[in-house]
Amino acid sequence: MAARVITVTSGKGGVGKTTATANIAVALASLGNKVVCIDADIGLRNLDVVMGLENRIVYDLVDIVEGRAKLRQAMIRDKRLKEELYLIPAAQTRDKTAVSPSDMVRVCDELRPVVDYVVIDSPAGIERGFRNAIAPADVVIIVTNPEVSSVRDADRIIGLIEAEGKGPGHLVINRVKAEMVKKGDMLSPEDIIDILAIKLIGLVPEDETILVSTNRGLPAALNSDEESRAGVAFRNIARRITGENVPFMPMEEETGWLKRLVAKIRGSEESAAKGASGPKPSVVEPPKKDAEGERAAARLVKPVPVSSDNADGKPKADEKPSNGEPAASAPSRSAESKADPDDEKPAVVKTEPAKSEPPASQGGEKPAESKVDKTPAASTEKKAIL
Amino acid sequence: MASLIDRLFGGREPSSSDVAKERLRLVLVHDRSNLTPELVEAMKDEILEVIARYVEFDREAVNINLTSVDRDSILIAEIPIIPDARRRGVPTN
Repeated sequence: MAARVITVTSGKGGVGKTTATANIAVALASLGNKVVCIDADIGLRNLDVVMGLENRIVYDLVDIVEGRAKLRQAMIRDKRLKEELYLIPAAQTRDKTAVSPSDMVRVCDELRPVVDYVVIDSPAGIERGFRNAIAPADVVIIVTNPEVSSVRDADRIIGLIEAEGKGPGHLVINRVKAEMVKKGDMLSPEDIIDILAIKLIGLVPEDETILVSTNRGLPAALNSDEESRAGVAFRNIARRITGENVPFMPMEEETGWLKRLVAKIRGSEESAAKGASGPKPSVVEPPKKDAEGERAAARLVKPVPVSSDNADGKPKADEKPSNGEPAASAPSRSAESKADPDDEKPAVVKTEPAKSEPPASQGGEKPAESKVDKTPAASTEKKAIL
Repeated sequence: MASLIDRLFGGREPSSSDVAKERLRLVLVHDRSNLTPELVEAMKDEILEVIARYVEFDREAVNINLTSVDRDSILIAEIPIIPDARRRGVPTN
């Protein structure tokens, strides 16, 4: 086994990093993987209570690093799962300086040969604790909420992980309220992806069952029968991590952006099917020489398997802006700014309201809604994922 | 395509999410380039000063903007140069 190390981070606190870490780890384990999660938030230990393992802590991460405990001794087994899931808790009485980035790399290197996934819960902020958490990462997942301050912080984090050679990150938008998005009172997932320009790997609805399950110390993703929409969303993230092509779960039926999202997912699947001979879902990396519009669509909604290729830190050739060359159907942003020399503020004018014209729709595509309605296959697909 | 400005002056109130998106765009352009709006203004003035040493241009029509394409910051400058009067055969003295 050669484990992949996934770090969950956000910049801003309180967006759901720990909840996401616990649920992704549980879901990955439920899929039959051997998983270890590490709480890297030294001094503000929390992953243990969210996972419901707080009463079984003997040793912690600092004990491992300082040689008081063997790795194995500090790994707490979650006995509720028949699969193997372990937690390495943070120390509560120390601070971030008790662990260094190279300590984290060493601990993870020791785990790599014996597990499938290591999931690290990063502390908020961009200081030592964050550096520790991303140092061993193969894949970085950035959690954000549909709200200006957390999106801004996510942008900063994305920049930092790219600078560290850990990019491109994968975005989880947590706590989406479909009703508010519909009313225009919440940034839509499309808006956020458009602004941050990174790949989406999860869309998690606001869900009260998360608080209930956290109260009980039972991560929502633990029980696959439970009617927790957020739990389902987290299980979908885990499946995408393993390379499965899982459509994004609609937040609610019949919202405008949802229809467009469904249409886009279908669109990107179609383009992938056109490009590749087989419809094998787990290999749909964006084709190298795609049209600008298709690339944008892929960037928007295609569930991209988090392969180690994505984590090698090299920006992919096909993700570079095409030096402002206008594509026939999907004008790039720079092309627009050139076309509108009179605008005082290109940054403002460039915003296309997503309602009327999804910026990443494919070349010559019909409006999303008619596409969904007219294609029988589309409506069954829609039913299937509802 | 109605921009925020069109909507502001066209009467219809933009939704709060539209406002949020615009504010984010503007703040991120400056975050990503690590340039404050004041620094951008200072940079514009210096750029124009250098250009003025070589050519005559229409100061009213100058348009220099810092913007983002995907995750890259781009400085776009449009500086309409006034054609050299002598080349057009206008007598100068």
